Amino acid sequence: MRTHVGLWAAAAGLLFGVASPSLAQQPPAAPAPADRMDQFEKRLNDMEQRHRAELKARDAKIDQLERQVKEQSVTPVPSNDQIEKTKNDILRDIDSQSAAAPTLRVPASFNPDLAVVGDFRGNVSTNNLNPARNRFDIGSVELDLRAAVDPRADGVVILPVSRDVGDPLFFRGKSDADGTIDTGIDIEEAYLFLHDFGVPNLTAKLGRFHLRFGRQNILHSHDWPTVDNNFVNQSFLGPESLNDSGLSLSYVIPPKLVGGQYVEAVVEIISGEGGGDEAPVVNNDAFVDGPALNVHLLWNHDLGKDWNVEVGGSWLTAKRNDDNRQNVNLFGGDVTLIHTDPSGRFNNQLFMAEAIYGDVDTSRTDTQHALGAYALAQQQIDRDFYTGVRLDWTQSALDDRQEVWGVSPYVSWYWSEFLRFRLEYQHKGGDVKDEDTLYFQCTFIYGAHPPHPYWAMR
Amino acid sequence: MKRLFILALALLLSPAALANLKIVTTATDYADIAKQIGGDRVDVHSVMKGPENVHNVMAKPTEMVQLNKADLFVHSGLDTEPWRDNLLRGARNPRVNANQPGNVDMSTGIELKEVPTGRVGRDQGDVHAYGNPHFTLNPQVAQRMAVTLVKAMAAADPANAELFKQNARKFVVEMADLSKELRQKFKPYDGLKVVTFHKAWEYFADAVPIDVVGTIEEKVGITPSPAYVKKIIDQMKAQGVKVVICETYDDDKLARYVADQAGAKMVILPDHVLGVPEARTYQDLFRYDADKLIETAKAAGVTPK
Repeated sequence: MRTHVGLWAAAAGLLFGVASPSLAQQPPAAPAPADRMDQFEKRLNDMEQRHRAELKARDAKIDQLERQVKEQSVTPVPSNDQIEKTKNDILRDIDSQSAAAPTLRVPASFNPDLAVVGDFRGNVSTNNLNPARNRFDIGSVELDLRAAVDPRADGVVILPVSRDVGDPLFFRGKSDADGTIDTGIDIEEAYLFLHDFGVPNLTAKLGRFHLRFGRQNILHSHDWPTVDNNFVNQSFLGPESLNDSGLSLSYVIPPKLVGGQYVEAVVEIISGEGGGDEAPVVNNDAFVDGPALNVHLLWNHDLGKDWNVEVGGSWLTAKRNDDNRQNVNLFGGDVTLIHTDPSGRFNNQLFMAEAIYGDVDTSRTDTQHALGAYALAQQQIDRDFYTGVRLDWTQSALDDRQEVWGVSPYVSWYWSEFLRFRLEYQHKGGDVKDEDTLYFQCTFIYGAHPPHPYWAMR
Repeated sequence: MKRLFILALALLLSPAALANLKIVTTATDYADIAKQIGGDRVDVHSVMKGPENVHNVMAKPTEMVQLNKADLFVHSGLDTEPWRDNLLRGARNPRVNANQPGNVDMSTGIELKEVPTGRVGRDQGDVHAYGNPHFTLNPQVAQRMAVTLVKAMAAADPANAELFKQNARKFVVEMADLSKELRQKFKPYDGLKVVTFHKAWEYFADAVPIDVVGTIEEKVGITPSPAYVKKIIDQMKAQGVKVVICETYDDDKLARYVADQAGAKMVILPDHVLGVPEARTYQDLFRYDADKLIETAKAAGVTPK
């Protein structure tokens, strides 16, 4: 088709070109008609040949371009020339004295990182007398604010707003029930963290914080592996945790002095007020002049490529009552063992165990010598599911003749990194009213990405 | 004898002069580049071991011990290592704190893909506020990382600066050659359509000409709903996608199910050095991934060009 159109165009052009001059001027001597026809035919043939050659060249060019398009990548991989250019640019850059060009990122902000942690809980129990175990409510909403104060210090403030109903560990009957909903805002933690003040390997916290006693006490309730707190911590430290105000010093012994091991020593000098009315043993009021001392020593070690073990020991000594003559001495031991799937997938396990022994003066003449422990094992099932079981047994820190035990299997489902559902069944027995409880928990976090604790496995 | 004694004394008193540069990296890729540049003059330790999701790495105290002694801490500079600050705080090493010369941000000078331009929220999944952080999966990007790293290494150890630069030049040339090699090797499968589990292969697709037509995760880091899984299977059927890539740390059962339903083949590929034992170096990683992709495409019946 292209050839035909070209020929017609050429013929028309030729006719026009031949006819036009003939209208403009008279030829001096007209050649014979036969010669004119021959010339005309020759010119037409020449033109046709030229035109055919042009079209052939054009078709060849089109074929070549089509081949190139076919050969070209679907995705824009660089050509050899581009690769060479980049290489030469980079080689020049290695020798240049100038710093790398800054890269524009999202604008910085001096606002603190802000996260909100919501913890919704519901439970039903065979013990209908215990209101704490037969209700649905938002357990707490926690506001977590943290930011660098200056290059050497960070500020951390954690303010929970909670709706609690007292759930005594040693619940025996209706007289232990208190259905009052305790609503309030608390200062769970508020401290300055000095991470670089000139003494190598030493850091300090100043303010109010979770005591470094054992493993689970440093956790916020939404970070526990189970819905409820383990029994031994409830018996000796408090329903949720033992917090206090003061100074916490943490020193990592230079690894070269301890064979390359991680050994950390923590010394905390605290007011001794403890958790107030809720804390079973460290519950002095603000007027007592005897501060408390907490010491924690831990060793962390890799057992081969996939296993990590942490062993800790704690000692807390404090005054127990406002006459300054009753003493508390708590001794704790904890072990955490973690296995990580060497294939990078989901066959991960966590084992934790803690024990506490306490000498607690309950009067000027009586001292309780109580003991308690728990053990927990957790297995990751797949990308989003974890299951585990916790075994508890403890004596009452204030009455060593009383004991309670429990078995608590659980399943956690991480809908996403920031939304978790959990179901836990618990059977509780001992010197308490036997009860079977089914817990449901929904924990959600929004705001800044909270830092991942290394052992939490999500 | 006196000279010898003085020399011996000087050596004893200045162990730092003999000590290797100590480098701790978050990811194995940075560790390999550091080893290739530093040779036997550096001691390199990676917190990540290779196959795992870098987002979920555990910054254990034993890793803090390593960072405590480090001269350089090499990391992505992005939000892909949420454990990084815990590691830094626990390490108690002011030399490698943020904004110190020992703190090396490997994303420097790299143009990130998929940088959010509008509102960023968790309704978009585990969205990365700075952009797609999987930039290590491209040899040409590795050239830029080598520049960033060699400058920091040369500044921290001037005595070995020239050696580091020489090795960095070699690495850059090798990366250029690798880019050409990958392009050539993959030519018969140029434009191979793939579905990936996670959005981890966008930079890789700039080096090896694959066409990523979708991901099994609808939102980053979130397990997809059954409805979305069906949608991606239908999309694969409609577009003739024959290969599914699953990262070493993602749900290979789901990836295999998607591949089976769509009549495709699933391949588990490492996206970091040491993600599989064969990916010992940066170069090995790319060759392994390209070879496995070709092998999978052949097995899936994709006709070479």
